[in-house]
Amino acid sequence: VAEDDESLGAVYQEVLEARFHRVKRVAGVAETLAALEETDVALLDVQLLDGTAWDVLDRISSPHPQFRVALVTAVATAPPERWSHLPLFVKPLDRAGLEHALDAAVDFRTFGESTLIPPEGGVTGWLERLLLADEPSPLVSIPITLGVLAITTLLMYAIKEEAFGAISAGYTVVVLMVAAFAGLRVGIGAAVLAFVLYDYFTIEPYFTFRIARAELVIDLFSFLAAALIGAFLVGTARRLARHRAAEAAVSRLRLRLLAETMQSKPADLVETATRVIREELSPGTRLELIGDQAPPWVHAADLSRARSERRLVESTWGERPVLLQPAGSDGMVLAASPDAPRLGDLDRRLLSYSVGELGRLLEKAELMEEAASVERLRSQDEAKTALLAAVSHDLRTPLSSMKVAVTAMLGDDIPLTEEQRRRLLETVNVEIDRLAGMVEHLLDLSRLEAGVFRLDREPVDMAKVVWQATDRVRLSSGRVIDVAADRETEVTGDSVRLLEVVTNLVDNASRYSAPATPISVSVRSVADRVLLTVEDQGPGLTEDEVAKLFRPFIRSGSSRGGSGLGLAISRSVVEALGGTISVDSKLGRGTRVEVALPKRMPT
Amino acid sequence: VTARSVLVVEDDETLGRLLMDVLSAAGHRTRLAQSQAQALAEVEKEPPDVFCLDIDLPDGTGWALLDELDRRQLPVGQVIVATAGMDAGRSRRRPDTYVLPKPFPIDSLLRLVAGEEAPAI
Repeated sequence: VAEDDESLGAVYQEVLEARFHRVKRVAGVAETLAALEETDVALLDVQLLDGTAWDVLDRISSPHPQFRVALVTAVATAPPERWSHLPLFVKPLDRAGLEHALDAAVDFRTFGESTLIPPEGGVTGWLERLLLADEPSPLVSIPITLGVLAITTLLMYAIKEEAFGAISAGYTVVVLMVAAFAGLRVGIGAAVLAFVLYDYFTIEPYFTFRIARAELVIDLFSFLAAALIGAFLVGTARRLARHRAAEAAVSRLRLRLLAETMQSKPADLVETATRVIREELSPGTRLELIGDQAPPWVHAADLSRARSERRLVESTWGERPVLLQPAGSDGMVLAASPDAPRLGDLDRRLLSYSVGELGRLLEKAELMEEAASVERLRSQDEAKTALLAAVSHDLRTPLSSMKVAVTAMLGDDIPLTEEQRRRLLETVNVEIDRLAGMVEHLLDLSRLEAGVFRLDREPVDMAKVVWQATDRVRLSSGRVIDVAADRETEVTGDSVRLLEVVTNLVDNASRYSAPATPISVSVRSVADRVLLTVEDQGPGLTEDEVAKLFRPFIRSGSSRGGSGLGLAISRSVVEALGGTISVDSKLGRGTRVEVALPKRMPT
Repeated sequence: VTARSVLVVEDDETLGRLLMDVLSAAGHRTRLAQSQAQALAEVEKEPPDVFCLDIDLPDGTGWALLDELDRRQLPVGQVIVATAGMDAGRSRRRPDTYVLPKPFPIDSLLRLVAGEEAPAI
């Protein structure tokens, strides 16, 4: 693991060691190069302490043949062309992501070599396909082999006088072709049978197994040895090639699954994986997730066996093979059946991998859902705690003002003028209103959260709302507010609440921008939405501040008498009416808040 | 009562103005800063005898302000921390720092500013 961040490297190490890998951690380029000597898989952070992963890769001269690389980067930039074949993962990696990265490293071969052999064209391709095709059933291959041998024997019998030398070569070719077409066992059988036919029909005395001339004995047994060795070699090559093809097909599927499900949410993880698997399996293959209702092509007995034994069960339906793989909780079972009467070993490998992997993904999706719901509860809990802390803090501030004012008036150690007394009382009065407003807002917020906040659904003309709101703020703040309004800006909603929302937005703009700068408000009709924007030329907000904007009680900059609840409530109201609210702010330029509400359609 | 120079660092406008009014009525010289930056500027101009310090400031905490003052080697003098949170533990790090939990009666503050005995916390 080459990672310059100490704590992240430690996490990687922990996760990898939990999977029984031996981990060496490095941070710099030279250190990484030294460590690669004894490394099978390198997980390289692109940005290292004193260089990049590309520096490392460029300096590796001859890696040992098992060496694999996966790259992790914090910034999604394209790697240099020469390294673009390496798997690249973007941080943050969760535990599953890290494991994916490792798997991908092991699956990809680095340095330009691919495990996936590209298909050949032409005759080579045809031969390759012949080698890779399923072995035909013996019921088919044995009669064909016998027929071919019979025809060959007829031919050989006809030419035995003129071209005796060609007989041995002719039989050899036939045996090799049979081995290539029907596999090792039928090939060996064909070799032995050809030996018998050769002797019986074409060696004098004909129609006997006796051999008249001694040199022909050598000839005959040389043929047998050559045919057996040939059949064995071709049959074995066939088996190995098929094994490799099966592994390549599985690798291909695994890589596609990795790549395409990596970013999936739990909800569509299984759907994506199923689509990929369907694309990779031969067309017509049945693949079904069975809950309570089993399809007619699945035997109930085998289904319950798969459920109780929790393992892959091979079943049949009529002629067709059926694989049953238990998956997820609740006794779900994946059933797969190829569109063929037999399950060749290649198909069996791919199909059993497919149902196995899909089963694992189903379980993973369930776990992810569960984790997400726990996370939701946890964050709700956190929000509650934060709210409580903020409430106690924010309620104390007006209380402080009131306490100071009242104790100043009660005590006799401060000489107060009549005018000063009046101002203190006024302060108390204002702070009481502020507290009352906060409590009201808090109640609104809890009603909104509990879903018992009542919103009227009546036609509301947003242009009217905007005029009213801007009039209010103009009166209280004396600010210049430009208003631009379209026609047809009617939405369905609660006029009182919407007026509060708009007033709150305009009020915020006036509170947090210099008094001399203008505020512009517009309400426009765009397609099926009514867009309301409030723009100020205030100091603007950082991204961090924008993110906090809608959280209850977080105020931007110094407090200017707001409750800190307005935006949280505004957003809840807008969202309850099917709309959205967004903030666009640039430091030094100003802030622009946009509210989009669904337009009321004339019925 | 000796008149002292007090810097009120408080981002809540109402409370800030109120403290200014009452402290000046009690005969002290007062200035108001609504953020760390403003407070630093005020201290650079003229270090106060007493800080009346809010902890929750828009551009950092009051504790950070004190650290910054130390870093710039500006005189800090007496510090009265007025906080709505639970910051009492922090004050032990500095001598001459008192924590007033909000809401507080004005005479506690006045006694502290005047340099009289600190109230029990």
